Amino acid sequence: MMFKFPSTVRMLEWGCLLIVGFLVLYPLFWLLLGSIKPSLNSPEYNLDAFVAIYQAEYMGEVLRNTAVMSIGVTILSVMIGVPLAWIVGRTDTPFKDYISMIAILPFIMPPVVVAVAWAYLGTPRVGFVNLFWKWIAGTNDPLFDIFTMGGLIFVMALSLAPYVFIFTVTAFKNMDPTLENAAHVSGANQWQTTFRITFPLAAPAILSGALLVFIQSLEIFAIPATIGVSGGIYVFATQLWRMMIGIPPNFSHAAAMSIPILLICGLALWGQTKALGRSAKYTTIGGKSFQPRLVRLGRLKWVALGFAGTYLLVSAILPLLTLIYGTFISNRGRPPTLEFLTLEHLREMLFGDGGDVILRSIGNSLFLSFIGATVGIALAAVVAFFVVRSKWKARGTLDFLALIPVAIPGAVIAIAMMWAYIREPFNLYHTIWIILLAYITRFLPFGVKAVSNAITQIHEELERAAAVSGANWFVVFWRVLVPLAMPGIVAGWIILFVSMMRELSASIMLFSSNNEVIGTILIQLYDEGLFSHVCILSLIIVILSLGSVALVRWITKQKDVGGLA
Amino acid sequence: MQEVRVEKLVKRFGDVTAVDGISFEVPKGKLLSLLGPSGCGKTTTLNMIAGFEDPDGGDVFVGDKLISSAEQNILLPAHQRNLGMVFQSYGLWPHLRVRENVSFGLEMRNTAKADIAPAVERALELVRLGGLGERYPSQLSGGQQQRVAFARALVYEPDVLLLDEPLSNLDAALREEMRLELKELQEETGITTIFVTHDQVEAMVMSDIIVVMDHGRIQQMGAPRDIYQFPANQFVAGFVGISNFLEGTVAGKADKDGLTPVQVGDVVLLCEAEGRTKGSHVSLSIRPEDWIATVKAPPKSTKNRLQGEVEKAVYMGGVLEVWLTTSGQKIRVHGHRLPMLESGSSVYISVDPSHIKVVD
Repeated sequence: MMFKFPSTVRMLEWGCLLIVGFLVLYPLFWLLLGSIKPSLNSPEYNLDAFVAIYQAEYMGEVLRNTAVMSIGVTILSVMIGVPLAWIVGRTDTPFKDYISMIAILPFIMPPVVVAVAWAYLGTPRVGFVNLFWKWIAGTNDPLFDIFTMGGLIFVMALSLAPYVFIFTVTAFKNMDPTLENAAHVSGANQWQTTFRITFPLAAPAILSGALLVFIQSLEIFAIPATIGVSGGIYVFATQLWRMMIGIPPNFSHAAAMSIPILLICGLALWGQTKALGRSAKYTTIGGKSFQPRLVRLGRLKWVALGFAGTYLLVSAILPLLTLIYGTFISNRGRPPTLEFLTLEHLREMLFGDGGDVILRSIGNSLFLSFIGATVGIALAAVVAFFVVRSKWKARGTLDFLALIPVAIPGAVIAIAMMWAYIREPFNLYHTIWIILLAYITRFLPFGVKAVSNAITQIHEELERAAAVSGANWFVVFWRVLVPLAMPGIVAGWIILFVSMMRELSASIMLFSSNNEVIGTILIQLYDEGLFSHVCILSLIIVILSLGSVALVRWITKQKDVGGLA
Repeated sequence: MQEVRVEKLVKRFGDVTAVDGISFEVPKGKLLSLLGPSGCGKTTTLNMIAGFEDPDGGDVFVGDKLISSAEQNILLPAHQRNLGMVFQSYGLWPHLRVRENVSFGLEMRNTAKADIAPAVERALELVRLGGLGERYPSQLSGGQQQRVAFARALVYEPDVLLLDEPLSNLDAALREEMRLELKELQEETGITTIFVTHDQVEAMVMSDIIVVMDHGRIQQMGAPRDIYQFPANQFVAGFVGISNFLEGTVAGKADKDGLTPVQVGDVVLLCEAEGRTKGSHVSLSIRPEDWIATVKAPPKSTKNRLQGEVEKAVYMGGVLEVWLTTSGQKIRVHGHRLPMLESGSSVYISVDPSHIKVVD
């Protein structure tokens, strides 16, 4: 038999698989190896690092804190997200269109922004909420202290509840109304139907949202680093950071500690995909149907509106007002009036002491995000094309590889990257390129999802028609597919760009002098107590995010960017 | 079980009147079909009886109980109407086992726990699904899911059973089987049933009474045979079975046998058109199977004898369907004993005067 040279397309597929495989697996390989090596270049292998962190005195507390926080955040997010989804999806509560803006909140208000704003709102002595409470209640005791486990869970749940909302509201809206009608006709009243049919049918969707929140609660760095650390509460993400900034940094302990977390996140992601699959089975509309009847709440609708309004107030409106106050008002602690309106803070931040570092970090972030989003979306487009369209046997593997980063907390990616790229032949440690690689790896799944959603909607016959007309693979891809999928590709680019602009979990481990980014500077400014600087930088992030959301909606002409955020 | 009475039911969607004042009555234990094309208002009518749509006018009685009245502002919610319903897509709850799907209605009626299990088992036996109670709906075939839907609707012995095109999701062979089974089931349980369908054969096979609907109005109501043999108007004649419509004018008085000549193009057909005055315009409806087609000329004495030219002939298995033209009229004929006919060949057709229906 003659040797058959693989076709160009097959070689491209292999090339694509190799690149993604390398990006994802090479750092993970070094992370595993790193956990059983005492130091970066030592020739020995042992389990000392595991033993050491297992015996470390801080370990019990960190584990307990992490467990309490993650479970607490997951439960509270479900308690907020599910009722909100029901209110929007199934009741006659007024202003539902505004309430459903919750779906895009995580995109507009990233955790770092919510975190710093609530740090200023909830400080016991001078926090705005506590000041207001002391004023109306006429006491000297604060209402609460944000720098506690309760405060940490509260702020995190504010930030993460939208994920539960997005999954659940989709399930409520896609549910076959026949299922509820069948219950009514069988003799079930409104509430019996809601609790015996509607909610159980949404249960897999709720579970998948909850598991995503659980993964995110392990991954988010900004909130434990501001709210938690200020209260002396260390969790997994901040403990890893403490190990890495120690002198000397304890690489092998950090690697060892990452392994179990990686397993937990992987398990949660596996459960999440399973739950999502079941949800699709429960909530696909079959055949002709009429709109589900909305539950008439009567007077209760004002309670529902109040609940939704309160959530929007504490998760978005109060934090935003804080940022605006800090940016434009010159005095502190007194009622804001127009005479105190000022641009002085802005001038001081940009041109005052340390202004050059801030400007440099903004420049770095712009550079990284631009290059990262462009390279990332190009890779994602090719991956998405092969995953959706190829008949290749290995496309499942490619799909799986490209999804893995979702289950890796940013801090863990950073540690793995460090182990992998600090050595020959790369030597990227303390350069801006290691941050770029981390960004591309971290956000690849989001890019793939954006493009594959777009490709799925393109009828395959359009490509076949081009092929029949004589176009080869490249021509089909470049002349037919790319133009048709362009809205999805552009939307994906914007999503990657914004996500990279505000990335923190990995950057905080990988940045170095001259290579600061917006996120790391924000945390530094917060630690130095520069209130107005923090507010201005946060406001810039919010405005940038808002603009991107508007742009994505306009380009894709769809209402939800939910799920991509 | 109860009879159902619907009086002057009206439903509007914006400017469109979907159901325009329809009235009918289903006697105890009978099966009534609402038959019509899509958009005729049959499903909307059913939904108003079930309590899923609020009528803009009219009353619905189950037995002596008024369950819905737009004028008196009575609107019993669906769950208080004690009806059973089988949906087009079955609407089985995917998160509950077959047994739990069936027992749901009993639980809602606070049936004693000890009585539920045997009742569920009986209902499943009735639809020949005994022993499958522990399965989930997704583990059953389409036909089995359909039976579960029936068991679920029947288990609590509702006053009336509502069926919303329950057979339309099945493949052709299974549909035919289920038709008969369903009819047996209905007769066995003796439950008053309202059945919505767009399939005239289904309606013919299963119904005691057929209500033919179009544009939100009742076009004709009656026993299946009456509807088929004596269609009230052109719509019914066309929708129920196939028909040839010939436009003509009454050409004279009835003869001693009561047969009236009607001029259709350049031929005269004799038919039973009592009470029509000479010169008045009429439509004649003739079923394709009522024409007798022969290749050789029949005796001259044969009434309503025509000669035509074959346009095309299609063999449909047992029946040859022939389109032919005769004196400018196009006619469709079903011949059972005809050889294959070439287009352009000549054929004789005749029809007994009693098979010609004069419709408006």
